Amino acid sequence: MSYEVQLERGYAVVYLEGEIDMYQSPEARGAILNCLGNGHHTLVEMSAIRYIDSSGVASLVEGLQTARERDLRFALVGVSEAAMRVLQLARLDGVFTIHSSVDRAPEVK
Amino acid sequence: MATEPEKVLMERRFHGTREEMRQMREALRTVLAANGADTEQQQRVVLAVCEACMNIVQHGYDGRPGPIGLTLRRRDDHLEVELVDEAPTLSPLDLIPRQREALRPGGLGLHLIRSIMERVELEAAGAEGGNRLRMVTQLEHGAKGK
Repeated sequence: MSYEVQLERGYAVVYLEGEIDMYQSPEARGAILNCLGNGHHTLVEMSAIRYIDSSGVASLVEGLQTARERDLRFALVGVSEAAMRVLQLARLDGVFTIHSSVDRAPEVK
Repeated sequence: MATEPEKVLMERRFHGTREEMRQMREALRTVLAANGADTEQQQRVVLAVCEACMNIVQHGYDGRPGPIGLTLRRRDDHLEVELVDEAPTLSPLDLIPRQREALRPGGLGLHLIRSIMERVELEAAGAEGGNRLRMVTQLEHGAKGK
């Protein structure tokens, strides 16, 4: 897995790529929580996620919970088919705000 | 309907390290595709197998890699995955998922396995410890005779 963070439209956008399993999820979790810890509204861009397991999903849930605690926006963006299937199986697809692309996320002033 | 003989599609022994897990996912996708599983089922079965392996590493071997034997079999239109470990023997009751709340990720791996597989069974692998986990699902495909 690799990731990159960019500031766009008032958000920190965490671009995740590759496979996220138990071994890679701490890195993804750290990237997401770091953005929120710095007070950024955060988007997690997931179009290049080929595989994600329960530990990766748990990192996303933790991001959502942290954002709520800090009154920050948090959404998933461009979720790949593979990742969406896992969110659906976990019955968490309705819990997250999901946008089709970064451009579709409402701009933060 | 005639019953096809059981066929072993894949046998692998590994330790659940990061690189081995990546290689195992690749190998499993290839074998499933060759047996006509569509992309969705490949992803689902790979997820169930990896969740089970990670459970073995996390809970059976206390977070350290340890020996895992994987056998994938096909019998008629069913796939059976068997995972054998050398960890302390678990109770089949450990396979009953806890009640999940939407935002509590605990037990999610087991929930995913149970959502994907039609049958999940756990038994002692031998008198000196170890576990044998069997997971069965129907092959969803258009290439049954392959």
